[in-house]
Amino acid sequence: MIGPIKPEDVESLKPMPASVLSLARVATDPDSSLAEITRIIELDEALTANILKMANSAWSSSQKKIDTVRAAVIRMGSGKILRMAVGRSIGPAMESGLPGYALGEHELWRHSVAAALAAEHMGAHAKADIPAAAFTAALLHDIGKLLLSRHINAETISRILEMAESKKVSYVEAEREVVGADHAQVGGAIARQWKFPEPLVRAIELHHDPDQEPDSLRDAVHVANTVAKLVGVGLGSEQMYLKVSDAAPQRLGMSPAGLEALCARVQLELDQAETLFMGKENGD
Amino acid sequence: MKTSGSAGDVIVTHALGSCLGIAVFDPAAGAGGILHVMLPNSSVNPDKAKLNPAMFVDTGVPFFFKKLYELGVDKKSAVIKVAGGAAVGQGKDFFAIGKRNFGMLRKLFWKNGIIISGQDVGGNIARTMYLDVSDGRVWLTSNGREWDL
Repeated sequence: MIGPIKPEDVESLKPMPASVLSLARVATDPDSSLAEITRIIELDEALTANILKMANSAWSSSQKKIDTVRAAVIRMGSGKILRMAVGRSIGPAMESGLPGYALGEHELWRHSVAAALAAEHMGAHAKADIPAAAFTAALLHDIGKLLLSRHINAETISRILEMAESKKVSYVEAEREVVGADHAQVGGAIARQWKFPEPLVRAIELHHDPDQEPDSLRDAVHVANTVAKLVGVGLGSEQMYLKVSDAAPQRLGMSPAGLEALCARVQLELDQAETLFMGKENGD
Repeated sequence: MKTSGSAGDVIVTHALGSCLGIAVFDPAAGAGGILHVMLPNSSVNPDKAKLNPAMFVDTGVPFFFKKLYELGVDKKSAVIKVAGGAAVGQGKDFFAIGKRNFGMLRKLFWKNGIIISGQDVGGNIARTMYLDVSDGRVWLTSNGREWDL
């Protein structure tokens, strides 16, 4: 059993670039300004290079050469730039394999991108407004796995799965029993220590339990994670032993057919989205 | 979706959660394949179904069998096995895509007089499905376990 997560545990994770922390903050704040977004990106050289490259790639369909972050933001829209910037700066930290969750290289990242994509398109299949912050929250919902994976070996996984099967509980509940903490709690602790905004912290913490304190952000992240699993991305040791709320998609005004349409869209756009976030576009 | 008429080929499909893997092998033709479908019904997105018919049960199965017939497979002598269709946790209806996938497949097979000779469907596990085109052996793996279907 592991104890509560200590600050030094979080510090031992691959550090997030400072820009990610600032971006996560503006991405979840509907009042963030163009100047603010531009400034954060400009402070990070690698990110600036990436954004300019994207803005000038065939993907942005720009005729004129774009050579400032400000021009890129104007051309592509602050929402798109922000999503790309968050994705590109978080990606490297989430690329490695996690044996504690039976996830191979890139698998957690691909799962996170699928969830983020589901959040991005959810609005088209829901009656409720999906908060813009859902994209970032969905991308980060599993960060707890980065830390908890170190405390879980093959034997622990077997014990978790035995409990899930025999007691008919979800993986996250069995994980809490066997390991002493679950990846959603740990993810919340990490996000809190990184000083992410509270709504983002809670969405990560409650991604398996939105019914505890429902709001549209938590519901959206819960559904986004489930969609990523339904598409078959990042099943790992958790497989389909998910704790799901049928009430969450209903609160968002989704129908089962809408859910299926969303799954189809995520599946079709996943490869492209992954390429976009990882800077592996054609010609790279 | 993958089909083959070459003995020695092993066809594999990974990460079958609520998705279905449909393995077909005709010993007389020495050919077969695996179709991996994700959703029951193409009506949720007819345009995407044209682009990628193998994503849906209702468009994927006819598309798959057409390819198999080209390899000489006859549905009368073909052996058909199905795996996947897992449930999402204890969710009852909303997320029950695995169940809807299998329901749609059975309906389609029933209409066309196709019999499933082996199945491993449901539960909460993720499965990987293999088909050996030399002898038609179908087997599954999940979390280090392996068993024949």
